[in-house]
Amino acid sequence: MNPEGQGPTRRDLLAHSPDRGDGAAASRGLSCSACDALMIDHAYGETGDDDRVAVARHLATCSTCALAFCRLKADLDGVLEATVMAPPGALRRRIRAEVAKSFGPRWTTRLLDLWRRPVPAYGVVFASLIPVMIWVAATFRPATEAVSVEVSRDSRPPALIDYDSMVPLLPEDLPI
Amino acid sequence: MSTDHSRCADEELVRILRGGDLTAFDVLYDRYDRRLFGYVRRLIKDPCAAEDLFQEIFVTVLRDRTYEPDRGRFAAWLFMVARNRCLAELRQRRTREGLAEEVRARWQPKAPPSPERAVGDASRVQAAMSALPDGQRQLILLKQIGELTYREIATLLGVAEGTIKSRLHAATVAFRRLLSEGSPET
Repeated sequence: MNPEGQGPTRRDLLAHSPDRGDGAAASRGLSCSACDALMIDHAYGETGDDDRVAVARHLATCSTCALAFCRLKADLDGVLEATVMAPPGALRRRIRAEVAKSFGPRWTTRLLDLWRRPVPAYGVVFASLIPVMIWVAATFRPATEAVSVEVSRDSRPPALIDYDSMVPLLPEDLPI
Repeated sequence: MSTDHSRCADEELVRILRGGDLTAFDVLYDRYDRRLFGYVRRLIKDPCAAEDLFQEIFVTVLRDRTYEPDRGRFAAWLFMVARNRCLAELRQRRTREGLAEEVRARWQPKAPPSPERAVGDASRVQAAMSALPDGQRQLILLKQIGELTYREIATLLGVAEGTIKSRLHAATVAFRRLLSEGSPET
């Protein structure tokens, strides 16, 4: 027994003579009874490094102990399978809302996240806005007004340059 | 901003959540919802009360700033709070219902087990677990569902680690015996 009175120590177990199982297992340093004593700890993942290796070696060579270990694991896994249960989906939303009240991002963080948004996200937003902009431009364009030029009565025609009325007309220009 | 936190440790997720990133909550919830809800349902039979308690435990644990991620595992903290809250709830219920109700229930003939309960491994396991004494059932649930270490359970219950080891051995043996024999409830 160990000093705390918690069962046999590893040295005790290793020194234990094999009372069942084959000789190969014993030659590895762990007897079947020693393996049996460590089996529950091994199934719970609570063996130390040395014991874990020793039990694993023994289980690899002793079919009796390997079978017993498989049954133990199956029973313990059965506890997990029979107990776990999915909560209703609405419960998740309720809890999330409660947690968001305490840990939700502040408006400054949200603004910063918006600023840090990757460039392609802006591209998508811009592309989706193009048809809207075209529609707005087409709908609200000002109507084209008829061009009307008012000529005031006192306006004069532009003066002709290099015109001389004294120049004689050419024959073809003379009136018939 | 969506970040993949699925590979983060629980303690890291708590830190991230405290920083305001709610995606860390989603990962934590997905990791523990089935186990914690199953644990609570196993202890509190009333489904509505179990749902309320589950919500309360989760919110309490995540809001509680006294938990320091550097000082201990999140799972141990979560299941410690869950166990304490469930036991408190059970105590309140017992007080409310009173002794008279208990006596009346004891003298009422038990309903025959339903056919669904009599078949299937899950019902056999549940029956065996129900037949275990409270202390042993708690130990197995904390170990298997909470995945707590011997040391963490010892800290939680305030006893020596070696005591937990021997008690858990005894509980496991008793559970397996009930499983193989078929518990008296079925």
